[in-house]
Amino acid sequence: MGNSENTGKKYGSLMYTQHGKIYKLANNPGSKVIHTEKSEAVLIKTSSPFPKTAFTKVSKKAEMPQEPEKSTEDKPVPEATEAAGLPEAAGASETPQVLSDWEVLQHTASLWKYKPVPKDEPEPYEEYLTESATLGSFHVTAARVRGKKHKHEGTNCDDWFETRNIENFAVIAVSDGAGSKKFSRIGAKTSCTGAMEYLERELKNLLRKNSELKAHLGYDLKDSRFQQAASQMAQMAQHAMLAARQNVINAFQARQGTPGYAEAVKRDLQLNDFAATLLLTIALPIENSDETFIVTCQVGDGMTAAISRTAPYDQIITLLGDADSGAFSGETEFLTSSSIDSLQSLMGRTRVSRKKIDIIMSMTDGVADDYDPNGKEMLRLYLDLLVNRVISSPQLEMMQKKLDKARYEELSKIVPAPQSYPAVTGELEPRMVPVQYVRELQEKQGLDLKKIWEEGRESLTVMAGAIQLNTGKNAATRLKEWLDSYVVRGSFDDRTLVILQRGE
Amino acid sequence: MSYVRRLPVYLLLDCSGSMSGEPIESVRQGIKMLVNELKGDPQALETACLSVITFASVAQQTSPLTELMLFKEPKLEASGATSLGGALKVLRECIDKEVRKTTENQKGDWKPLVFILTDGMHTDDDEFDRQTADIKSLKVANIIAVGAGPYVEQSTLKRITDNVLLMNTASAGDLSKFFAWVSGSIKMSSKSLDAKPGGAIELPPPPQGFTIVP
Repeated sequence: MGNSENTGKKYGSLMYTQHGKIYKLANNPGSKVIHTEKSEAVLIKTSSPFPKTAFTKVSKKAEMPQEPEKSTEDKPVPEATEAAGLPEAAGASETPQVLSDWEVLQHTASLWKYKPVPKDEPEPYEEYLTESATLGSFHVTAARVRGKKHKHEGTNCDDWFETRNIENFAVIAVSDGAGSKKFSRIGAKTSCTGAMEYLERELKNLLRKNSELKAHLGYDLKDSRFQQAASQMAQMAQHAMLAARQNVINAFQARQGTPGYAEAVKRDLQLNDFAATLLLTIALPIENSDETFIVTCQVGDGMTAAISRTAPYDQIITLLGDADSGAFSGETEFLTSSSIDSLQSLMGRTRVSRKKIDIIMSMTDGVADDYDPNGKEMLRLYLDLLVNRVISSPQLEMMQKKLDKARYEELSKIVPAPQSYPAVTGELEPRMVPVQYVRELQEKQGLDLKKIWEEGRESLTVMAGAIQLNTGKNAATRLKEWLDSYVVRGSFDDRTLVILQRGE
Repeated sequence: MSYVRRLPVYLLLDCSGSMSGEPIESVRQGIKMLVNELKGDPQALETACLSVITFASVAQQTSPLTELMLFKEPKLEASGATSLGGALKVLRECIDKEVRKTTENQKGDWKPLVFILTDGMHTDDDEFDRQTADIKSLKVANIIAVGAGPYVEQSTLKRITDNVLLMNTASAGDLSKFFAWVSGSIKMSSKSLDAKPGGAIELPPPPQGFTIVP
């Protein structure tokens, strides 16, 4: 999927994107500028809409397996057809009735349990992590929440993230510990901290040795000094990944023979008990320019994507990563995999890009999978962040002021109302948390994302107007609340999202 | 509208004459228990869907692939021969028809999970040969074959899949354990999927009295 989308190109021989065009770096052996028509032809794919016929109305009154108190405003309250509140089952050999995701979610909402992080295991990790900070010219908003699966079972969250400002380079590390491994959370954390410690030291070293590096990263793309500098940054990222891996290995070795660990897995510890993914992003805003230089390196699933709000529709999203689940081999790569052992092994996982971007989002698969395929759907993620007022958009704010009252009220009747599900937080009386879903707007009005992007600003503004709850809290808290509350069928993994916004 | 990536589960159940009486009644109870159990598990409810294919003198799909919430136990009767080959043919057709493939606009389903329960030798050699010729290499599903009682031939089941379990008898006790284990397997699979398509499935250890055929 990755190669057919608008993507910062692979680093097999060093490539980069600019204004949606893909180039190879000329000083890399055998490299040439890749003709731009191809990349643009591919880009058009990202705008192809969902087939309209795929949308059917949600409500089929008599079938809804829902308890009345869970109803949301815009859905009719169904009559229960059985004592258990379950709909009449399909008889044998008949075509089964179909349930919408919403109907299933209404039913499962009350079944999710909340069990706190276990205290008797070594190294329990926090339920939540949030961060709101200024990293040089960027503002970072980040949060990580424990997935419903882990809450239900009373197990630890396996995600981790770290952010750092190193001499005006914004650095993000995001990691997801393998779900089936007992101590993968330690792998996740130590991979993030390992990468950061390396960059803190070595990126500063590099800048000391080469004081012009930052300036060179802003030079013309054909200038050999730019290419040299971009190469150095790509290698820097790859070395940081290897340092992260080494840090996980160290963490594993340090815990071998330590009481509590082997007992928990009922055997000797193995390195793959610490298996985790790692997504590393290093971004530098180019001085006196609206462009940003970005290098990313990724092992395992998850996604990093950049948003350019003012770009033509098919170039708004740039995927800066590739979730390499090995397509057919069935092998998910982790940082601890034996195949990740050299700079060479990281070449195809490194991307370099310089373009005008407004936002970079880096996330674990707990979020990325809810917006699949990423090449199209990352825009829906961005819009979901807007309508839930996690981040603000100058356009929407302007629209808010411009919309007159009559139009606002007219639109309020036709845009979807927020949906509320009980928060899975162990409270005696679970809060109902209203969340807006852009997908609802798509279904309700039969619009594809492109239409919504180009003509739906008013609707989005009104949708955002219905979300009042978190106003007055900081962006990271709002992000945490949203990550912890939005509901997608079959989505119960840990969720981590780091948002980097370039300052005006 | 559904956007979920489902875990399709197929149960292939032997309903031949030798299963009549206590065994088939235990299978009925077992399915009831299995479905009740899964209906209480939100992860399974959001991801798994279930189908039953029975085989006796003929093989047929008695319950099409259905949301757990809507699943109703099929009416099972035991009589006749053991068309296991036919059941594999039906399975193949059902997977082809019911399991969603990944397209540009839709997440495909997970690889189906298939449990085969039989208490004796198949009676349709030709079809069985045809079906087992490539079933292992196609890898369209994760198949677990479970043989119950003394008349099961391990080597025959091994032709279907490498995952073969044997239980001593087709008694109520053993069959009840079998369905409890299937329930555990579905729960475990529906949570360990973790968006890692194609990854090896993890199943809970089989119950006591079951032998894993190496």
